[in-house]
Amino acid sequence: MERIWSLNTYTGVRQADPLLIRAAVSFGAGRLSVIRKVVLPSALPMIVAGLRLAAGTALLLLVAAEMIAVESGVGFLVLHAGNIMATTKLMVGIVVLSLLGVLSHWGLGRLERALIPWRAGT
Amino acid sequence: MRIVIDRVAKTYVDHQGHAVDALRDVSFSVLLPVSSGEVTFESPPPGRPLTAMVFQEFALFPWRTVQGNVEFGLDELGMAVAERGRKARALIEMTGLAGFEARYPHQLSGGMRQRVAIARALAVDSAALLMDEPFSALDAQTRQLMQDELLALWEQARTTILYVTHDIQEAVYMADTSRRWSGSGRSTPTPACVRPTRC
Repeated sequence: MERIWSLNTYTGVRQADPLLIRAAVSFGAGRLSVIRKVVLPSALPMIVAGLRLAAGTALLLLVAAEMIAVESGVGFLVLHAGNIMATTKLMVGIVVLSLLGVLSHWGLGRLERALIPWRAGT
Repeated sequence: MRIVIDRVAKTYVDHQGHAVDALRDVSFSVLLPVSSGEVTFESPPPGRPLTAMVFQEFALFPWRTVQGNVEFGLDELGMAVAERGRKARALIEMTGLAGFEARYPHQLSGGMRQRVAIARALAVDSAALLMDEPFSALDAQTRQLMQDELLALWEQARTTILYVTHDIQEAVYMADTSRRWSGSGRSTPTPACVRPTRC
């Protein structure tokens, strides 16, 4: 997950518009200034997108790990309830997992709008 | 201040350099190295940045508001927050953008974006303003309007403006002094007089 994120960040940083860098330099911006004021902001959408992707994967892997490795957590609850035919418990687990997914998606969406107010359509 | 462009050439490896391309990169040799010759600024006024630039493609920072974009150069000069806010607002007013301070570039029309870029460049109060085909990305009507507005702005600011254009009509209309540059990929671009007065 972290790798997805850092890969996205890497791509985002590489995509900084050379014209904007030139514009910044034309106003006397130094290396640090260019990184802080041009490269980072232009990478931010990619960074946040990576964060969203990674959050989904993280949740998925967490649940999978809980199912396989440990004897606690929602993943374990779902698997265990399924094994002992406790359908109500099973459904509770599934609903909780769905809510977690929706919640993290929604939260990151809000974060995205707060961090990247300049994107069209947000 | 006098800007001397002395036998400057720019050789392109990857494409056939148009004369105007050459002059553009040349006049902005502050930013890009030229192949030969030199651009000198004779007795530039002290304490002011030498140049500020307006780009053909506007080159506004999409994550900054109009106000933020205009303040960019002032920020780089190390001006205090309050003062650069005040100065930026004055220029926003001057370029007819009052009321749009908090907008982002993607919310503005092409003509307004270029006004922001002009305000951003004027804000730093540089010795010379370099304009690289600033209006060629605009539609014909907006271009004419902006030409007149730029002239009006210049009447107020009185900054030396080095203006690169493909449009001879524009050059003759706008400039006090114009030079025609020609030359193919291989030869050195030669400046020639378009208007004999003051050449």
